[in-house]
Order: sequence, then C-alpha cells, then structure tokens
Amino acid sequence: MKFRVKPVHFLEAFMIILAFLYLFPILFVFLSALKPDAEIMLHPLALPSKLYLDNFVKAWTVMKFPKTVLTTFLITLFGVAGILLTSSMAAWMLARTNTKYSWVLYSLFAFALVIPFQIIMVPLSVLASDMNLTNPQGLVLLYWGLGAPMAVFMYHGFVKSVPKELEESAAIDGAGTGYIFFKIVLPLLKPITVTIAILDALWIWNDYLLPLLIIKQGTLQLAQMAFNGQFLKEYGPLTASLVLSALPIMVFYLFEQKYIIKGIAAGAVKG
Amino acid sequence: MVQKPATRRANFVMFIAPALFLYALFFLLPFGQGLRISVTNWDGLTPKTPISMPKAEFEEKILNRIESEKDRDYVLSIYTYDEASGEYSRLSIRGLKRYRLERIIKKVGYSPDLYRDVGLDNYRSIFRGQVDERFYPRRYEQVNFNANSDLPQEVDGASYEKDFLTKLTPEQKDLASQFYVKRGKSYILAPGKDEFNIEDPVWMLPEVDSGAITSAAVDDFIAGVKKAGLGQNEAAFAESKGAFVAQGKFAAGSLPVIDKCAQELFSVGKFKALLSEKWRVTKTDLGVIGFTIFFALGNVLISNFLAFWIALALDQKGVKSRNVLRSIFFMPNVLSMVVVALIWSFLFFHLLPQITGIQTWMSDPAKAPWLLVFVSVWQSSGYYMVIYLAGLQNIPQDIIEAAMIDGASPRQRLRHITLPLLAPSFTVCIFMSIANALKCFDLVYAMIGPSGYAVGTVPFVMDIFFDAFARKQAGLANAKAALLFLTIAVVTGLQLKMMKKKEVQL
Repeated sequence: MKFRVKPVHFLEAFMIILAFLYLFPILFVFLSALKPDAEIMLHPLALPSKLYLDNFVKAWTVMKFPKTVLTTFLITLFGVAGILLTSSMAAWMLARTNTKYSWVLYSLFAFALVIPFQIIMVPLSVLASDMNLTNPQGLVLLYWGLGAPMAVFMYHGFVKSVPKELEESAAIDGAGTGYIFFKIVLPLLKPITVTIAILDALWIWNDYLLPLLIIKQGTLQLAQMAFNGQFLKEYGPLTASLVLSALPIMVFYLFEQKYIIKGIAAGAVKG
Repeated sequence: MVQKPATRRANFVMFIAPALFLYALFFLLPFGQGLRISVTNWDGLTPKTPISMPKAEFEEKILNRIESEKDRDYVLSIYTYDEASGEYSRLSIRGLKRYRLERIIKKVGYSPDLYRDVGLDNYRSIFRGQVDERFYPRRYEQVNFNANSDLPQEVDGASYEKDFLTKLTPEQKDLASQFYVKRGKSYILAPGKDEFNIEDPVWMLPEVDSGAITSAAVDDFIAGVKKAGLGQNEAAFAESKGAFVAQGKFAAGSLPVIDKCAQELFSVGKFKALLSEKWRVTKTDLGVIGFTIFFALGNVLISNFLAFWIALALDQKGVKSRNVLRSIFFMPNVLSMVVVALIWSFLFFHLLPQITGIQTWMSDPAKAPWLLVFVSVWQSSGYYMVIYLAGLQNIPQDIIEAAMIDGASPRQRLRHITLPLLAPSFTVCIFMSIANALKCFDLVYAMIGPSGYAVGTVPFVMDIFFDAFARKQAGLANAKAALLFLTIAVVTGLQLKMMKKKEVQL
C-alpha cells in the first residue's frame, strides 16, 4: 500500500505546529535558564553555547528550594488527604440518608460553590490569627474547610450512581457503619477519589492568595513571587527559579498525565 | 437495616460532623462576618476594643457603664492604668479572650470611629459612583506635557504631530517649529531652546561667578521670568528682570546677556503653556468594571472557541499524535498562575521587544487588556479542550455512521449531531470559564499588580484586594465582594438554567 497525503495529514501537521507554539514559552524559559545573562540579552533565541548551571545554584539557594518544596509538598499531601477523608464520609452519609436534614446540609455545602474567596478573605485571616493558625499546619486545616464544598458535591454525585445493594447485604450480615464505609464503599469510590485528589492537589500546590494571607512565606509560589521582585533584572536566576518551581508539578504531570486528563474529564461531567 | 434509630443518628452526626464543622468554621462563619463587615466603615486594622484610652474617657465611656461586677473585673484584668501617660492600655489579645472583651465593650455601646455601622452606605456609594474614579468606565483627558516640568529632549513624533501640531494656528506652528525639529520618528528639542543652555550665560557672568550676586538672586530671577513666561505676563516679566538688574552691580557688558536670557525664557514659557494646553488626548478607561467584563467575555468566547476547535481537530480519524498533542495543550494548565504570569512577563519584557522592535507591551494601555486575555486563554483552554474531547469521544459512533449513510455532509453532521450532543460539555465549560474569569486573581496580580490601574487592567477581585489591604477600606471591599458574589450567582445560575434546557438526552 502506498502512502497517500490526505487532508487529515495537513491538519495534523498544523496541530503539531500549534502545539509547538503552545510549548514555546515554556521551552524558551528553560533555554534561557541555561545561559549567562549576557547571552540571554544578545542571543535570546539561540541554544546555550555551553552548559551553565550557576543560575540554578543561585535560584536554589535564594528560594531555599529543598525546604520550600518539602513544606509545599506536606501542605498539599495532608490538605488533600484531609479533604478526601472528611468529604467522602460526609457525602456518602448525606447521599444515603433520605431526610430533610440531609437535603438542607447538602444544599448548604453546594451553596459555597458560587462564593468568591474575596468575601471571606478578610474575616478568615483575622480568624486564622485568632486561632493561632498562621502556620503550615493551620493552613492545612483551612484547606480542609475550604475544599469541602467542591469535594462533597462531587462525591455526592458519584455515590448516587453506586448501587446500594452491597452495603445493604453487609449491614444484614451485621457489619458496622464504619466497616461498611471504609471496607466496602471507599474502594468503590476510587475513580472519583482520584479525580478530586488531582484537582485539589493542583489547587493547593499552585495556590497563592491564601498562603500569602495566612503564612506570608514558605510555599513555592510565595518564594517564587518574592524572588521575582528581588531579581527583576537578572534574567538568568529568574528563569532558573521558574524552571525549579515548575519542575515538580511538570514531572508529576508527565508521569500521571493519563489519570490527570481522565480525572479532569470525569470531574467535569459529574460537576 | 438492623440499626437502632439512635445508632443511626449518632452515625449520621459522626460522619458529617468533621467536614461540616470545618466548612462552617472556615467558610460559612467568615462569609457571615464578611457580610457584616460590609455594612461598617471598618478600615481593616482598627480593633473593636481600644488599645489605649485616656483615664477619664475610659471611665466615662466604658468602665462606669458596665453593669456586672464580673465583667468590670475582666476588663480591668486586661487593661492596666499607667500613671505616667494617664491612660488605660492593653496588650494585644487573641482568640476567645478577644471575643469576650469585644462582647462586653459592645454591650456598653462603645465602638471606635473606624468600626461603626454605616448601614447600606458602602453599597450606596458603589452604586452612586462615589468610589475611586478608576472603578467605572470613564473618559478622561490625558495631559502629555506638564507646564511645570522642563521641555523634554525628545518627544514621540506620532503623538506630537497628531495630537498637537494639527491643532495649532499657523502662527503657533511657527513658534513650535523653533522648538522641536523632526528627526526620524521623533522630534528633538533645538539645542538653543534647552533651558539649561539658555540659563548658562547668566550663571557664567563674572558678577555671579565672583559672588557679588548671590546664586539665590539668580534663582529668583530665573524662576520669576519663567513664571511670567507661562502666564505671558509682561508686567511680572519686567518686574523680575528689573529687580535683578536693579541690584546695580552689573557691568554694562553683562546687561545684554541678561536681557537675551530673559527674553528667551519668556518665549520658552509661552511655548510650554501652549504645549500643556493643546497637547492633550481624550482617552477612554475601561475601569475596574469594564475590564472585568472585557476579561470575562474575552475568556469565555476565545478559550471555549479555541478549545472546541482543537478538540474537534484532535478527534478526527487518523490523527496519530492525538494523545501527545492533548498532553501538550493541557500542559500550561498544571502550572501555577504565578509561574505562568512570570513566564509571560519575561517574554513581554525581554523577548518580544527584542525581536519585534516594539518596546512597550504590558505597559501600553491599548495592548495590556488583550495580552492578559491572551495569557489566560493560553493557560486555561487546554482544560476545556480535555472536556470537549472527552465529550466528542463519548458520542456513539453508530449515530454518526447512520448520518453518513443518510448522506449528511460533514458540516451537517457537525451542526445537527455533534453540537447538540456536546451540549453538556458546553454547559460545563462555559460555566467554569465564567466563574474562573470572574475570580481570576493570581495571574493578573503576578503579571501587573498595582500598576494595573495605570493601564486599565484591574479585575474586580484585585480591586477588592487593594481596597481591603492597601487602601484600608475593608468595609467597602466586603460590600464589593458581596456584589461580586451576587453577580457570579446570578450570571452562572442563568447560564446553567438556559443551557440545561437545550441539552438533549440520548
């Protein structure tokens, strides 16, 4: 069979060019990070003439990279874990109880989806300082509260599509509610759990305003912004810091992209 | 089910309590407090209870009005009296202690000047436009030259010709041509018209050089002549020149030098006055409201169109690199807004000026709003593309095949099968893009920050942030936030209602 050029090949070629344009800013920043300042100024588009890592060394020390990444990682990990646990429990209970309380409570959670963060921002920062929560542990607690509405909403939708029979037969066999939830229901909720985990992990890892108000410094995004002001004219260290702060999430994305993209698509249909 | 009702109720509470408690504490409570703050004139700093107060005032307004003995003791356990300053003062207190003190002090009817109930005044002032002039769209006159500054060495040719020279009478044009000469794309100040060059001969006069005439007197003379020149006031001009010469210490040879300098400065003044009066441009500023609408509309339309189009292209049969391309288009979405903003700032400030020769990008009011929409679309359309692509791949192949057998053209298939079946995806994507665009803070803040007011790119949420933390108007900020909440609820509510109706069920 001979290879024939079909319209779809033109389309594909065009899409590849478009994808390259999409990637270009990221590639450009990455290239610049490997060059000394003078080279960035003189030949912005050229490949680096030799491997130059001083920019990274500088950005690494100024951002206190290992410590900052660890803090951000722990906040994200515990934040997401807490949201998943509390929200799945609440959503399952709300979906499986058919009283007017459960309906009212569910509506109360759903109500938060349209509230912009700006209206709670001032009182929340006062409250956090009153409760001694202006530290990473406190930030995690705040994320549990702020992440609940979306997670409850999505879990609730999913639980309704899971058949009740398994739980009922386990109850007849004498299993307690805790056993039923953790051993039977939770494994069934895995697809939506993955989706919510991904959405919330991206949200918390990338969040800027709440950490700015509550802990002021220490997360990756905050370190990145502070760095920007300090090194506005030193392009090399600036671009290196951008690469460093984007790297963890990019690596995570490259390895988990199948789940992430599936999760996003699934979450949208449920939401 | 074999559980007793009591056990069932206990389980219900135990499972729901953690999420509900945290949500109520960190979301609903602040929401209520936010609404409460929106009807006060709070500046975001002043505590409800005074930090220090003169003895007499403290006793009259607070201590003597407390009825219960226990409460008075409590207040006195927090405030200490300092003999030296004659004031009651307290250290900073937090948590429940603060709440208890606030309750007691509120009961006696005391509230600080900057924490008063003002009813709906904040809302009223927003609707009546009694807020910062940069809030609503407006037309304003941009003055390109300030009469009190020196003439610039070089001016932008395009604006100088279009907005200044064309408005002049032939006589005035003559005057202008003595000052600025065209060179390339800009106009250059004639060397003889530079104020320093004009003043220099006076400073070099032997009388000034030797100190016989004080430099203060020379400054007075020059300032007087310049001022007279701006108003073309002959009398004031003669007076300041006269006063200078009348010091009587000048040699005869110096007088023409003084005269020439004075005459020239007088004509510079005339030109400056003309320049500042005529070189003005009427401009339109979108304001906070205008930009927010522009940004939301631009985002919803462009990112959804682009995302749908890319999804459609990737969904075609025979596209082999579909999954790789999908991953690439989605990639900007996993980056944080801050990183995205800084990547593009770097491009706008460094790369684009160098390769296009156009120097101003983000600092140009004509470009900045579009650039922000562009960056935001770049960041977000991959997300919507994933949703559209999933929707497209969910359309059963047999329906499309049946249509093909019936002879439907690709355009007809798109119009009558794909679009209607994709309606749920459109509903979701448009809902999310409206809400995200109206709530977008990080990106704009990291890209432009407070200087956004100068180029008209401050979204509503950022204006609220500046009101609350920079302009010290927490009350007003919360009133604005409450209005934003209503807007988002109404707009997305209407959109969901309208679009859900159009969705078809298979």
